[in-house]
Amino acid sequence: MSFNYAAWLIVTSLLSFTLHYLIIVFIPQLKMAFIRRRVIKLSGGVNKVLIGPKVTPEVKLVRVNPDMFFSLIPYDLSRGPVLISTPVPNFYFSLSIYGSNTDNFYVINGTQVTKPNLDFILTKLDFEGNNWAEIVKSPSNTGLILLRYFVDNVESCDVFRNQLRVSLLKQADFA
Amino acid sequence: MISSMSLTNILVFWGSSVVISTIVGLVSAWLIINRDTQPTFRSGIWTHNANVGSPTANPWLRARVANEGILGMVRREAIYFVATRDGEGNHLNGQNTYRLKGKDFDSRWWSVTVYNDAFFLIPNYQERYSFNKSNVNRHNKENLDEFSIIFANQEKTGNWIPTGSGNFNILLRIYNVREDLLEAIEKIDLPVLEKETF
Repeated sequence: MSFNYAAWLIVTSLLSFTLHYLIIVFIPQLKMAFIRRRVIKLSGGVNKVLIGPKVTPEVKLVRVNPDMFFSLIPYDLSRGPVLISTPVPNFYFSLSIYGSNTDNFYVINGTQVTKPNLDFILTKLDFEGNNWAEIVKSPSNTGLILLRYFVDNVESCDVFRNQLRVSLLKQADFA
Repeated sequence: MISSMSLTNILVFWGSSVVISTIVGLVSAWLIINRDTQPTFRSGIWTHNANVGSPTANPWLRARVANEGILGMVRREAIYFVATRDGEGNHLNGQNTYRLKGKDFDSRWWSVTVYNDAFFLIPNYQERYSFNKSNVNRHNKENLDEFSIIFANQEKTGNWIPTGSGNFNILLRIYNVREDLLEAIEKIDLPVLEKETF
């Protein structure tokens, strides 16, 4: 019996590509998990608000925007949908939601909100229930909500940031 | 019949396959992730990838973006243009002085930010990392929509952003650009970078 070099080459190529692909797919997941872990540590848990510090070079996030103030919510839908509620300022404001693979699957800015308050329920993809508020479905159970505020001073920003609320909902809330 | 291949030889033969495929898989993934994101659009010094942040991005782009600029927004909200080289193809470097000249965009807001090679903000005494539509000084009183930003390691008068002495890159963010321009970004009048010689 002799060595089958053709089989070796095929197997090695397949293994190489498989490992390459798995790394490529999991890198964003790992990066998001790392960021979430840092945010959860600072916010005190999942589905809790972290009011971000002023952006400086000490904030080790690639291409972080120094012109904005921000708030972060590491969401986790495993225990149920979460209700997000925030007043909308008259300066630039946007809310972006990122899934566990870093995709920005939802974004809304202040000009698109017709009421003084932005309220929506973040749910899993398979959620079904009465829509007493706008429903946003997440492709993953965990992820990150990032609110961006562009304003000259932190005091004006904090008037709004401090009113950001996250509430875990139960099934009975949709009866 | 006794096989001419000992068990050791079989293990070495297929074990080498595992070792080599691991090395190839790791190195190729590292090279892909650290390669510059391939743009879908180029104009002058600026490059842009329309799929950044998008759920339609392929896994390789998603991995590169996670490495270079995680948590970007989809194009409808913000368009990102990156400059890493000057008009002659040389890396932007703090040993040189550059001037960026442009006009306000047909958008809600914009900003120009400088980062180092690792994509982090560059520490400086002035705590200055960017200029935006609201805070850039307009020196041309006859055309208040024009702006001029200087990138240099040494202090300059005017809208100066310290670059440090090494390579740097510039990120132009344009928020809520006029809707018809989203599908025609070549019509966006992007600022021009000049390398100043003395």
